Amino acid sequence: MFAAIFSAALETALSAGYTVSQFFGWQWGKFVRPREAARFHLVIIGSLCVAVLIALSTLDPISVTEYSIVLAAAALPLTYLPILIVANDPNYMRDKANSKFLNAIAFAFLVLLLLVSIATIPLMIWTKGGA
Amino acid sequence: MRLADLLEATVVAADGTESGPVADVWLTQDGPPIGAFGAALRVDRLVIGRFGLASRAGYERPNVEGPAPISWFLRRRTSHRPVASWSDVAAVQEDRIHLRRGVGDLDRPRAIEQPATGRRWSAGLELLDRQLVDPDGRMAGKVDDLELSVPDDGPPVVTDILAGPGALARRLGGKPGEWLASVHARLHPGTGNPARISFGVVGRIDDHLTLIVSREDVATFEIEAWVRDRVIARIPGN
Repeated sequence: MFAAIFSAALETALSAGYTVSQFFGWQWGKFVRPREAARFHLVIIGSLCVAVLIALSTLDPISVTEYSIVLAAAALPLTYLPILIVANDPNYMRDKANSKFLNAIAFAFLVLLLLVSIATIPLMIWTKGGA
Repeated sequence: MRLADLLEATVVAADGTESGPVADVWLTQDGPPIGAFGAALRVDRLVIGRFGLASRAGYERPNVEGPAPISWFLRRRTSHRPVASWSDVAAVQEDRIHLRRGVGDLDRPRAIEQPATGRRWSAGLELLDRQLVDPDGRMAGKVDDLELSVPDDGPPVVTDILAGPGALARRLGGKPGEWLASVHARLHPGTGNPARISFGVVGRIDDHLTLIVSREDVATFEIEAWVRDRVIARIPGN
């Protein structure tokens, strides 16, 4: 239990730092010393403060988790599609760009993700959040 | 002039009809020499159309192919758009570009065509929003816009990279853009100009731009240095 919560807290805080830093092109990375990636670490500190405020509110953490997982599933194609496109771009991938065979599998998976993403919010409403 | 100004401009054909916005600008490296980069990039072609998500996926380059259904769908939106050469441009006004020719007479290539000598770059795809990396592999910001100088005769030449919120704000537009511009103006009392990096310190362009100077010596480092000295350095164990 402790390990799961602790690692999820680390992962989410780092993820906020990665997202903001990579958008603006700042230095980022968990192996970079804080003073070498100052704004990245500032974002992590800031997101931890916001997270503490949310945790101190009376929101039920379990339902927050359930809804955020459902929304993450709905958003999956939005993260998968750009990665699939980049994986086909030899200007980034050089000789590691996707083959036709890999693309066939990858595209089938995209269709599956689209189905999941379309079904997930109606299913959440229909099952009343799994209750 | 900034690249964003060109990308927002409307193209007007010789007969006065509006043909749509500039979707992309193709640059060729054969301008006057600029520092370590060698010959500067100059504006070579204007692509007429919309600069949307399809343009950003990269299927305008002939060597990007798969997956077939996605490529087919996105390429339909980006290939065979009319492309004007800079010599077809009669006049550039604030937000309008007047052509000497009708849009029907322009080339409609399937993909970016490389010239016989040198290399042609899509500014929207291969320069804008790319990462700036210094010689030690440290991140130095992004290419948020390009500063162009317009000589009396001949095409505009890329002189500087504009980076940071001051440059990004104009491209975002709308309320978020206004908000970002006001944040930048508060942090930079006086001019409010965006951070500027001469194109002469660009060493190489591939999937990112490698600079030949340290990130600490370019203007995008100002706020990073402030955060480091005023916030992070005061925390024990940094």
